[in-house]
Amino acid sequence: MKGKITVFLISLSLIFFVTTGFCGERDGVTKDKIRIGLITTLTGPTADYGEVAKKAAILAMEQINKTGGIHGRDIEYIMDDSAYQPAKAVAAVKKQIYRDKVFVIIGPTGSHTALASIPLCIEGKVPMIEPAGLSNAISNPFNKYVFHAQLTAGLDAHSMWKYVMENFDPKPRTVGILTYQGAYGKSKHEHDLRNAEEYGVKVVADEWCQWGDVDYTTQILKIKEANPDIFMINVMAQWGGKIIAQWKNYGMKAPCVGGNLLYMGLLYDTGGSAVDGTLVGTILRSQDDPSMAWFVDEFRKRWPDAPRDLGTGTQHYYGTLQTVFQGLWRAGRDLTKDKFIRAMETLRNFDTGVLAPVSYFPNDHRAYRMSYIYRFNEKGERVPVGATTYQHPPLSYQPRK
Amino acid sequence: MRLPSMEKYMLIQITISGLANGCLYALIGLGFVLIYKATEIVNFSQGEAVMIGGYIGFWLTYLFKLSFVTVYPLAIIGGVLVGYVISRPLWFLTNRKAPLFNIIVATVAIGMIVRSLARLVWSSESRAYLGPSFLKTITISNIVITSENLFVFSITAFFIIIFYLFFFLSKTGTSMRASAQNPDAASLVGIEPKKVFTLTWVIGCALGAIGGVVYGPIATIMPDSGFTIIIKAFAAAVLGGFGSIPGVIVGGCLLGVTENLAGLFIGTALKDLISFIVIILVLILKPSGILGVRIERV
Repeated sequence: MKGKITVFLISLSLIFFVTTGFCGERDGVTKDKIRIGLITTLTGPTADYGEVAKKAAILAMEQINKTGGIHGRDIEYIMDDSAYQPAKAVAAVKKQIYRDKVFVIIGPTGSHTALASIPLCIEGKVPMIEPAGLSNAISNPFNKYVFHAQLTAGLDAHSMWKYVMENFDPKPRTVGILTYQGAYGKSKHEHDLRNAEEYGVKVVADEWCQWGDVDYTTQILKIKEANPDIFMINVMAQWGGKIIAQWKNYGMKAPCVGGNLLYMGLLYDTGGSAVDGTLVGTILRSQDDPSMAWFVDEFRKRWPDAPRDLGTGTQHYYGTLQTVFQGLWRAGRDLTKDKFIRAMETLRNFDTGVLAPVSYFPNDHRAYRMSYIYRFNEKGERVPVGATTYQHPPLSYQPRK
Repeated sequence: MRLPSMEKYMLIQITISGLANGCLYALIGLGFVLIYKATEIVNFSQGEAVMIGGYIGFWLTYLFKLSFVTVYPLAIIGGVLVGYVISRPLWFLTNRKAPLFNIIVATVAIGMIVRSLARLVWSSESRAYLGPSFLKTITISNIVITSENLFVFSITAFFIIIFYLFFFLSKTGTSMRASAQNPDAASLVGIEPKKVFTLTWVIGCALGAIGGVVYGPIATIMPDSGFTIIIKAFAAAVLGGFGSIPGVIVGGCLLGVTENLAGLFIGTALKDLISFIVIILVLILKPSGILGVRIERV
């Protein structure tokens, strides 16, 4: 009899633990912890971005935990590497959703890895906040679980075109475009063509490059031959510097205009003083600006071996985590994923301290409607020259294919 | 296919930069070929020697402001050290008569270990540095030869000549060739196989490191950067005839020029596709590569 009672009590306990979540955990939330999943590129071709993004994320989480966490819960994190490869990103997402049972996923870094991961997050009903990918396809079609915490290719293109057409005298009538064949490049390119048409600017040269190219002579010469009024460069900063230097080596005077990816300090490191005059757009506040000194100091204090230019990943991930913390806080102590999503959708012009203001809406999870414009000088400093706002085009609400 | 109208200068310009790219592929590919020729091992960790060379170039020029004249001997020393360390486990396997495939897979593993260590020690941040400041871009009636082009040409020519003199005219080089042709016979006349094996690897990796110092100003250096360029270097070696030293130079130049011309005449979006199709076509016509020796299957 005693044995039967023992078995009964043990079974009852097991049922209790299973139905309430193991040890009281529910979807990455326990009495005193919230588990966040972070996926970035710790290895692979953009490991330099991922490295600083990781450090910034750790800084943000340590800071919030030092102040008592969110409603008495500390933030704990699971960090995984996507190596900038969709297959690895998908594997990391699956692990974080089904094994680690995270509450929310930040990442994975990059448009193509994010796009590969979105269906899993939707299926697993885990909010995904993408801080690095620019492709419009991340946020379009709309899904409530996906937050696009980066400027879209549309905003990226629009901000540069608007600035150029309003500030250049004479206004450019022709453009030559060089684009990197990745998800971001193609998306930005599409918007460049659209903007060119809207402004009545003729595309006189349209060339492409791939990851791993060591030379851009063919592309640059073809664009040079077309003699455009502006040279639109949709590539990563580390190649952009070389391209701009070569452009100027050929005696070309047409100004170089780039998007968000050219913003990095690597542009000057690879191009030297040739990058003088290059225009770039971004959601990042300049690290050289006095208002950013607190962030730079905190980061350097925590990571003393940080390079001269902290990199864009620092602000992307730090700022994105600030929005997540705000969303967690607004959702309240009785935290669920649906409440968190609704709380995020109440953010209006939220100031992360390091990025442009963030706004999410119940039917639109695109974070930014504003972009800062900078001009590189001959010393590699990014001088702010303006900002543009943007009205996003309508989203599709069809289920993703 | 519609040919774009262009001036002659554009064709010459693109060919010059294609040759420069090809020289870089050849310089790095030479290490592959040397190691293969002497040991039959395809060294999939050659990219890591390139990466080490790139880092040496960065530290010495950007951080310590040394001239490139000083950088190269130190890069060679770095390559030699890497080659020596890599060769130890591989000699162990070779001496134990491990299957060749296993040894080749071991080179893949070694490459991953070196990359991971590099990431641990130096982090994944990109490092960038500029080429030698004493080299200036020159323009000869519309044709621009950039300082990077000059850098690649001069370094490639210099080290290939040095290598050729060493490999074909020195006693040590002759020993290496003898050992590659017939290891048993070479051993009988007093040529130590272990010494030759080690020497082959250190020279092969030193060539990779030299290529890395050239590659650094062209790209950015990070732990994975060797992995990116090595595919082209390998393709150059295959195209030229894997195992042929002049072949890798021919293959590299042909690959470099082909990819640029493909971009010019067909489209820059299809550059890589077309150039690798050309490689396949060449191999169909001559399976051993352009200057490769046909090997009869038994």
